[in-house]
Order: sequence, then C-alpha cells, then structure tokens
Amino acid sequence: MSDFYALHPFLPGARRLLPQDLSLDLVPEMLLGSASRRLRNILSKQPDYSVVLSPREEVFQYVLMRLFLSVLGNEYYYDRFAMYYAERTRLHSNPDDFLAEVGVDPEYLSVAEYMRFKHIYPETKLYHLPVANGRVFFPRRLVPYLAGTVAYTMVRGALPAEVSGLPDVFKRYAQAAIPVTVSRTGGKGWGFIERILSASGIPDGKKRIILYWIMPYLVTVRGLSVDEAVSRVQEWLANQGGQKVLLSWVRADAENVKKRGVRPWSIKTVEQRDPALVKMLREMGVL
Amino acid sequence: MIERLLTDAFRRYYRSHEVPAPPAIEQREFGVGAYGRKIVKRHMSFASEREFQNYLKTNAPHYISYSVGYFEYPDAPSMDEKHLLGADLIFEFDSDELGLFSPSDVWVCPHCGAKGYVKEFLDRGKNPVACPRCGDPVKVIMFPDPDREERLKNEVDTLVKDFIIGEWGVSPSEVALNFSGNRGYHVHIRAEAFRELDKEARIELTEYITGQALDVRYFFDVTQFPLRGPKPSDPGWPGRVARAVVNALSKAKRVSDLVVLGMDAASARKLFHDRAMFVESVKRGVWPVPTKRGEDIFAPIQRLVRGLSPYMGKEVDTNTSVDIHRLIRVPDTIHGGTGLLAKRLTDIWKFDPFKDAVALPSRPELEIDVDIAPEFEFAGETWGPYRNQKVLLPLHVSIYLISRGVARWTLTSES
Repeated sequence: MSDFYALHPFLPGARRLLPQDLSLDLVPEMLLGSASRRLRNILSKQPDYSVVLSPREEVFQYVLMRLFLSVLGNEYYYDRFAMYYAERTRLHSNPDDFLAEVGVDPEYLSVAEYMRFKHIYPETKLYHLPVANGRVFFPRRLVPYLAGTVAYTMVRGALPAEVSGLPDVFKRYAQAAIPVTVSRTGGKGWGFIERILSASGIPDGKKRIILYWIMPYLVTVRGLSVDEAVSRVQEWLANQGGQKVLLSWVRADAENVKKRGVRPWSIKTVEQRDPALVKMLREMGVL
Repeated sequence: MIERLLTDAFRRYYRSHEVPAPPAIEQREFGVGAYGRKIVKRHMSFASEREFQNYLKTNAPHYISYSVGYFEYPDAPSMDEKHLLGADLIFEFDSDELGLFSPSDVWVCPHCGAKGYVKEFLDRGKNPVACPRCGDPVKVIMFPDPDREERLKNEVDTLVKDFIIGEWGVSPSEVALNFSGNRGYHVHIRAEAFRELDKEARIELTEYITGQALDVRYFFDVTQFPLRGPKPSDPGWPGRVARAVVNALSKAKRVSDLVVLGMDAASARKLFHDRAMFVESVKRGVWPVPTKRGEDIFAPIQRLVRGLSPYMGKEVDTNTSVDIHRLIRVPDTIHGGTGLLAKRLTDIWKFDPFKDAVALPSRPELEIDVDIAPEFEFAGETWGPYRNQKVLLPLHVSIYLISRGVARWTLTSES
C-alpha cells in the first residue's frame, strides 16, 4: 500500500507516512534543496515522470513542494504541478486501484459528479463522451485519463496551502525552484499580460486585447492547446464588462494563432497602433 | 414624464398581481433599474416573499433582477463579502443570437441615420450588414415574426428535452423556463447537484450545448480499420453526430448537397455514390471514410460535422451561463424596456409573447412620432405599417415602439 502512496502522495491516506512530530522549523536544508530541485524539474517543460522515490520521501517532498508553490503564489505553476501528478497517474498508475481508492466508479458516473473534476484532457471533455439519462458512459480505453483527471483535480484543489508562519528559509528554496526559461525574444517579460489576465471589469477593447496579447500569449508563449486557450479566454471574458464576444470568434482566433505561431505584441507596438487601448488600460491600473 | 407614466402603470400592475418570489429569496441579491437603465442599485436583499412583494407595490421599479447565485450575505457590498454558496445554471436564448432575419425587421444606420426594411436586403440575396448609403454597419431592430418565434421555441424546447433532461438527467421539476420579457427565453437549472459547479465546469457545459469545441476524432477508435466510430443509437454527442451524418447522406439528392456542407468535391463524390452502403455501415458503427492521399482520415468527417453543426448545437449566450455573479430578470416582473412580462412558462408552445406577456394597459393612449414600423401583431391586434408619422396608440404599443428605438413621445398639451 505504501508503494501506492509513493505514486500518489497527494492522497489523504498518504499523510500517515509523515512523522507524527513533523516540525517545519527543523527540516534539514538538504531536504529542502532536493525538494526545490524536484519542483524545478516538475515545472520545467520536460518533467521526468519516471522518478519515484521511497513512499516516505515522495510524500514528504510533495508536502514541501506544495508549500514552495504556495509561497510563489503563481496559478500557472499550480497547474503545471497538478498536471505533473495527473500525467504520472495516467502513465504509471493502475487506474482501477487509484479510482477505487478515491471512490470514483467509472462504470457509474453522474453528469453533475463528473463536472466537479477538472477536465484537462480533450478526451475527457463531456461533449466527447456518451451521455444519457444523467450518466456518463466512460469508455474503458479512457479510464487512465479519468484517473489523471481525478489526480489533477485533487492536487490543484489543495493549492495554495496556508503559508503564514512558514520559516524564511522556505522562501529562498521556493524561489530557487522557479525554472529558467529562455524566450525567443531574448527574455521579454510577459508579466503585463498575466496582469491583464487577472484584471476584471475591462469595459471596451476586449477583442483587441485578445488579438494583440492574450491569445498569442496563451497559445504561442505558454503552449496551451486551442481548447485550453479558448476556455481560459472565456473565463477572462466572464470577468469583464461591456458587449459579449462570440465563442466562435474566440475559437477562430485561437486556431489562427496556433496555425501561424503568432506572438504577442509589445506594449510599445500596441501603443503606436492603438494608443486609446493602452491609455484605457493604464488608467485602469492594469498596465 | 414617460418615466412617471410607466411607474404608475407598473405600480397598478404590481398592486393587482402577486409576483411569486424566486426560490431561496433570502439568499439572493437583487438589483433594480429605472427608465433606460437596467441596474441603478444592487446589493439589495429581501427576507421574505411578502417583503419582496411590498417593495414591488411601493416602488414599482422599471426593472428588477436577482442573482443566479445563492449568498450567505446577499446584501454585502462586495462579492467577496457576500460569500457565494452556489449558483443556478442559466441558459439564455435570444432571437438575435440565432441571426434569423425577417423581411419585416427594420434596419437603422447609426452613422448616417438611413433606415428601411430588411426585406430590401433579403430581396437582393444579402443580409443586412452594411448601410447602402454610407457603408457603415447597420443595426437591425426585430419585430414580432411567427416563423422566428417558432424556430426559437424549437431551440429552447430541444435544449430542455434533449440536452438538459434527456442527457444530463435533470428532473423536469428542477428546470424552470421563462420568457425574458424582450427577445428570448431563460432556462434555469436549479438542481442542487449543479449549483456548486465552478466557472470552468459551466464553460464546458455551455460548450456541450453549442458543440463548437467538438473534435470528432475523439469518437473514433483509430486502432482498427476501417474506422470504428459512433452509431446513431449511441447517447450524447457521438450519437448526435452519427445521426446527423446519416440524415445528411440519406437526404442528399446530388453531390453538391454534400459540398455545401463543407466536403471537398472528390470525397463528396465518392461518399455520394456509396452513400447507401456508407449509411448502413455507420449504423453498425463502422465508418469507411473516403480520404485523399496524404489527408488526415478525420478531415472529411470533421468538415461534414462542421457543416452540420448549426443543426446539432444550440447558440446560447455563453456569458450568461458562465457568470455566477450575474443578475437576471425576476420571473413574472415587467421588463421596463418593452412593457412585456418576463413570464414563467409551463408550456412554451402555448405561449405567445406578444399577446400573453403584455402587462401594460391600453390606456392612456399616447401620440407618438413613429419613424418606421412594419405591420405587426401585438396584444391581439394588428398595428402599422407606419412611416414618419404621428399616431395615437395605446400605451402598451407605444412603449413597445419607443423601446425598439423607432418612435419618440413628446408631451403635447393634448397628451
């Protein structure tokens, strides 16, 4: 059973493997360092899914990495971390054992229950599955994807953790876990697009913002699939004001960006071509 | 002046009709609007149905909306402080979303002021997009049209029966349907199991309804040849796609019928000639798809399904379904922009919005300047056509025309 927890250290039952008298003040720096390096690998573009340590080490590293991530407070890293455990579950776990442990029966899933999971794989989107009379008829060949979906939902749902009172040394190791990315534009910062993505109540220019920045950033820079990018844009649109934007338009833009590899424009370029938009965003404090 | 006139008419209506409160009224946020502004005040709450009804009788707001969300503190000034407990899932259908134009609709150019009937465009085989005088985009004002109403009702009815009840398994008692009071219908899913769904889940459910994100390759087992795919008897979208393809092929009279659906001419020709065999094969879940050399095997099906998508999915307003902080018209209250009731419905097919939802009285009559209006049915009578003329009309018709933006009321000594 403990080997099972080595593969799924995020399960509530895995907590049993932690020392009873665990004090974060007394964690040796050597362990913090190895957890930080592991997290850096997980957040990188090519994480190693085959690494499986001893059950106790796996669970302890999971706890430390979750704390590092919570210190960083970056939603994108939360997703990458959860995706890592989802993929590891899908690729290396026995999906039936895993689903039985978490109480999910692939033979009998209600639509409402199924929609509580985060469907990260296109295969598991509700519209790609046979659905009738309130039930999702899950094809046998997709059960590993269901296991990955449940794993993702559990890991992502546990982030961020409470970090108040965490020893300062955790912050240092958390920063060290941030992967170094080399951008084709020579390290251009896209932080302002992240700020736009977290902004709400933008009344005008939503389509232009999607065209110039959001869609190229999501699809080309962050490498999201068309489905993922459209979902993210819809979520962003739901937080804005003014006239609605048609989903078909968003999807067409995503497909176009994917096809052409369009990269986001700089603020300077947009300011030259569309000064009113930049002015509005500056006045709103977004840029 | 018209504001006061409307307020008096609304007050008379609310004093003679008890409006049922939305379910769990104590957990809902309310917002009210005045003439021409849908929300002027929000973060309001009512502890009981009686308090809500008394408010309507006393204040007679021109618009009253309530939150789709359930809150612990509905009158708190910010969303964070309200503490969301869950939210109904809403689907909104608007006739303008369907993009169906009627010859009797009116187009207006906001730039140069030109106006006319949509018939002028349709007769030339065009949709009303650009102003014939200045080339700027035109605005289309829709008037009652029985064909469009029927199409809209059909969309709502199939959404409720096929998707929500048939596929998602929601009990009919947990689905409420009402007329929006303007151009469409609202479907409310109040099932407890759906209330806690987050935004992402709501987006996916909306995509389920529209079918726009569909990628047919996920319906097929690529490890077998010929391809194994969905059968028409399969549930959900896989079956819907198989049925649509079988239906399109069975109805096809010539190759061009498949080409207009998006297929390339070579695949369409091959499929058309073998259509009887293909249809029989698909019924068994075997898809002998014709492909061109080097082409993705799914490409012809994907193109065909895209061509058929308007007949399978439903065009709903995504923002309404996804926004859990949205305020939506309280059923059985008056829409201040039309004077029509946002009426609760038990049978959509027995409902005529321009007759059954008329809430305002015919008196007093108003003398209004009508720029343009076709002949239309309203409150059981036929009105119009009018063009640049002053007419004396009952209050309900006058308010309807003014709200459509095709008439103005200026107070005269006679009025």
